[in-house]
Amino acid sequence: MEDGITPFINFTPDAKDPSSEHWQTLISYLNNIGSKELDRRWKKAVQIMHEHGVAYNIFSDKKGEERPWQLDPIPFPITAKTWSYLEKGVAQRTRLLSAIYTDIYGAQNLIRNNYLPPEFIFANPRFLRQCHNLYSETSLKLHLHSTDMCRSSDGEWRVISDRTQSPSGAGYALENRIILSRILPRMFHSGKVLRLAPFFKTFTHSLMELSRLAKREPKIVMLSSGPSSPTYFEHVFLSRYLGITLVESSDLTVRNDSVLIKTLGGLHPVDVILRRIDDMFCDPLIFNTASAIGVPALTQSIRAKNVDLCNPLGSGVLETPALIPFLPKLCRLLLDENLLIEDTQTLWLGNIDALKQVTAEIHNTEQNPMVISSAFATPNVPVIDTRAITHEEIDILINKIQATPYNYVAKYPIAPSTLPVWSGGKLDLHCSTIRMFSTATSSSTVRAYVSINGISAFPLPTPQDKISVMPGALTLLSHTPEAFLVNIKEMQGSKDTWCFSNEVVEYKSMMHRFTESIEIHRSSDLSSRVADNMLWLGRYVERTEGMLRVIRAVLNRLNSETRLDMIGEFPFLMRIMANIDIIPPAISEPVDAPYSMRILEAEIIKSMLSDEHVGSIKNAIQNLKRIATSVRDRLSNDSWQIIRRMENDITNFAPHQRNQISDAQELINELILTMSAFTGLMVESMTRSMGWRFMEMGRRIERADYMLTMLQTLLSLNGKPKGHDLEALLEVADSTITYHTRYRTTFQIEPVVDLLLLDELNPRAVGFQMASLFDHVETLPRNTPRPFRTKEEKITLDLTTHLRLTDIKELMEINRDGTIPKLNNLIELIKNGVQQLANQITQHYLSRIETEKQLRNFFE
Amino acid sequence: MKYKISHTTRYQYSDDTSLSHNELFLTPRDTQSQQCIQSSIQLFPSPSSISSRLDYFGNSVTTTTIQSPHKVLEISAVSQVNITPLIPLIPELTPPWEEVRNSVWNHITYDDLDAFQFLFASQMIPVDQRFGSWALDIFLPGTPILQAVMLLTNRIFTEFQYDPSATATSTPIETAFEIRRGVCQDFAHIEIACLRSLGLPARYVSGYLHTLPPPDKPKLIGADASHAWLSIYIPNIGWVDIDPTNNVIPSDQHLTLAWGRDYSDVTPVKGTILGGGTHQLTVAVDVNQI
Repeated sequence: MEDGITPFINFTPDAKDPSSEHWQTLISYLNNIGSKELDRRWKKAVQIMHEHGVAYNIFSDKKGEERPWQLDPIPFPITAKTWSYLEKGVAQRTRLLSAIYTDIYGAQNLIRNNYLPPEFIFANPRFLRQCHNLYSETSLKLHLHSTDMCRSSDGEWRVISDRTQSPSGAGYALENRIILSRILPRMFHSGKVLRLAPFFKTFTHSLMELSRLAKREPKIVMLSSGPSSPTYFEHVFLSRYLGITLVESSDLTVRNDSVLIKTLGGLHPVDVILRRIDDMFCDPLIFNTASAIGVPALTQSIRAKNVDLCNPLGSGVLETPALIPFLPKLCRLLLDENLLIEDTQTLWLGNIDALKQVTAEIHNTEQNPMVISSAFATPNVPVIDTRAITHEEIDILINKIQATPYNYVAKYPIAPSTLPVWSGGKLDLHCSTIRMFSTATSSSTVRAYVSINGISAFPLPTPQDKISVMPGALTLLSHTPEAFLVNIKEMQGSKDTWCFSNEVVEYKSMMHRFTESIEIHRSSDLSSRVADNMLWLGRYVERTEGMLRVIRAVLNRLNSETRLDMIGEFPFLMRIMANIDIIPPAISEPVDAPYSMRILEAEIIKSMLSDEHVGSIKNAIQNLKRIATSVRDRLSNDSWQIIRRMENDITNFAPHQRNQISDAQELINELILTMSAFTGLMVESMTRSMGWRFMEMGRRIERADYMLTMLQTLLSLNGKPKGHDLEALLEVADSTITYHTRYRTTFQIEPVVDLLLLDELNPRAVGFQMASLFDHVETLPRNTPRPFRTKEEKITLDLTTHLRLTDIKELMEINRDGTIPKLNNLIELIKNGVQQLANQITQHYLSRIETEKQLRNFFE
Repeated sequence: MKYKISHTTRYQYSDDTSLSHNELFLTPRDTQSQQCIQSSIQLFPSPSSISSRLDYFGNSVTTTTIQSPHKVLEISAVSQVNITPLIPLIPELTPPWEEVRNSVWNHITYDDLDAFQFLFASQMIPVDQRFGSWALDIFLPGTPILQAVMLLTNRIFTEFQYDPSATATSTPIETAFEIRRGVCQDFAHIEIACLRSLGLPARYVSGYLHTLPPPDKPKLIGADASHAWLSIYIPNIGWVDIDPTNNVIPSDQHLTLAWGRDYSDVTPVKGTILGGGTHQLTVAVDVNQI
């Protein structure tokens, strides 16, 4: 590989003898900075990453567990010469794989003429027969293709694998670049490092071009499997950076053979889907997957040419390792070129000679270590490193292989070269691979006629695509060389990759996308699913805050000098706790017995920390975090940080045995403060978009409901409410100060009810909630012409009017038995009305989010 | 022999369904012995879009969408076919089974190459030695292929019990094999699994069986059912059907709809719905000679 040798292969960690100019510059620059300063900058970078929420949740099935993304502060420099070689090599691969795709899903001449063994499609679960002839085009392109490569210790670059369905990592590479340019700004701005931004510009252009409708402004969406995806961070980050809408399956539906996005304003057509889900999950109608992700009848819309998918459906077949041994020959056949970058040595065991070689060599694990894995990348076939198993196990393996040899490949691992890694104040050496990305733009197909043995001739696609390769890469690190062939999950970190140019590079950026408002311009474009999540985010925030305030009031009293039976309002507070489901009713009102401090203490701690108790603070905060995760792309980093902090606080809370109550009191105070910071951000920092409105509606609905529950609890007490009960109510309703400034008297029920129920100036009052709900509802997208009020407008107008027309004197007429019937009726009426409103909003705007399901089949 | 087939599938939902996508394999294909004279598919309520195309295996597949709210979905397919029975093969004169295996594995001819694809594991049928070894004492060296397959068919017919309550579409074939119970689809899958595990290609056939009522009773309407069997490949001869449920080589009573690697390739009716709550499914099939 004459061009491919990089001059710094003999890099030594002590940096005394760097064989490359770039390493030399880099090392001397780092030395200049000094380890202390590097450490300081590094800590800053870690903080940036934490704030951005950069994570890769490999174990996404585990409860909320995310692994923080690890980035090394020392970049991996690639010389202009090496870059030029890699660029050509990766671009060639993209063209080659596109040509193979076109043939496999079309004429299948490669199979018919023995350039590929028929097993490659017949035995390959990733060859999807439903995609055969799906596209009528003569040539198809991979719009995003990634290639994993490593430099062996002898200096040669080798391909490990390709990703052709929905490659991930480009977003991480970009994020790494953003962070590194902050740590090493001077170094980076020396002007010779190639920028990443132009690649993403080309990629966006390639997506626009993909739309076969040739619309001027095609609607492009990124289809994600949602927050449970290991690379969800990247979905959020990239969609924002590229300026395309992030959607999940339930946001899309197929009507009249077209894909539509469900928004508050109705259904709108989608032209291009950049998918982040695998082939098999794209269309549950066709692929028999009982999975909840995917868009039923998507395939039909593709066939009808109403939508385009990036990458084309069925492209997973190109990721199968069985293809690797045939690439050099196919490259000469289809492109008339030699394969520029070879793959790691791979044998497909469906070939009899390959099987013979492997059976002969497999026991000699010292000399011929190999990794046996699925020929078609099927997940249920384990990846086995022969060095890790016994001779008996090897015999069993051989027997298994011989039953269906075509299902296996053997790879001879190579020793990857190492790179210096900053680790706890010193340099370590880690093995590395790089993942490079390419995108195909325009293509013009040239049909070549190939003759076989001079007898028959058949046309083969040879696309002359214009390919752009990202001048950078995601460098992945691991402690052991085996990790690359065995398990991607063992990756230990990443590096930014700097491709150098011989000329000074012009500065281009797409970062303005982050400074612009991310809300969609026409507010009715908000997807119904996001609106629903925002509504519930608002509700959970308010619910959690309400719970915190009641618990704080109770804790304050438990921690006071006064005996519990001497605290008049205590039964009232306990009843509120029961009514909002924080503690069971039996605890809140013990029959014929005084309150037991011991039982109460235990119950309160349980109400805060229990995993099982649905109404616990811990569960409330976890629900809040879950729903916030699903609208992560709509929240500022600060808001996100606050939610994470609350979750950390509650999860790590371990009260001292003897001091439980005051520890808990401290935590609750802390949480209430944190919560106010969050709600403050909602008011101060969020764009007044539809998303914000739905969140506000959620908060208002929940707050009205909470206040009405407290008032109902007050009225349920025996006899006329006492002064201490009213005082406690004002305390949990956060309205004590308002009351005092207004009335300067003792606590009386009339002014309290006026302040908490009717007042439209007190942000805690029901009247205030109704008035603002009316404002929000009026601005929702509507299909009826203006003169007619929508149902939800009618409900809020009705409730607001009821409250406004209420005469407080009349309302507060007290019966002989001490009950206040008119007030009771009004509270009940408003409470039902709020419930009705919540249902109506869901029905009108959000009911479309239901997902489609499969019909049951049975053997008739 | 001319037949009229009427196949009605009816879904009844507890709630309104606002969107229904369906994929149907209900149009009989032409075969060596069968000619489809006429075929039509009707949906109620009427679909907003309906289109037909040929799938990878050459079956006619119809894709439909219904966009108006409905509580009942009725799909009825009515077809007429003409069957000209082939001259039966003499099993003893068919080539030895190893010869068939070697010929397909070498796939020199396009026919052999085409048959080669029916030799591998598919979504519902694994290639697994436990099926192969169960049939190994029948497939003795040199045994003519059709003779061996008929013995295997007979073994399934005698050792397995027809029991509609034993399996569902989601039951793994291993389970049906273990409990020795199932329905026609299970028996076809099991026999295919045995043959593929021995290195022989076999394909799944979906269709109908024409049945006659007991001599003194009238034929009941809707009494017929979908049926399934399999087909084996013999080089230079072609595909030969075999029905393990009835232990026969189909002649003029078996009407072919479609074929594939297994049931999942050619499921007669499948679909997705939006809403609908719970659903009930009724199927009525009538096959009458005309």
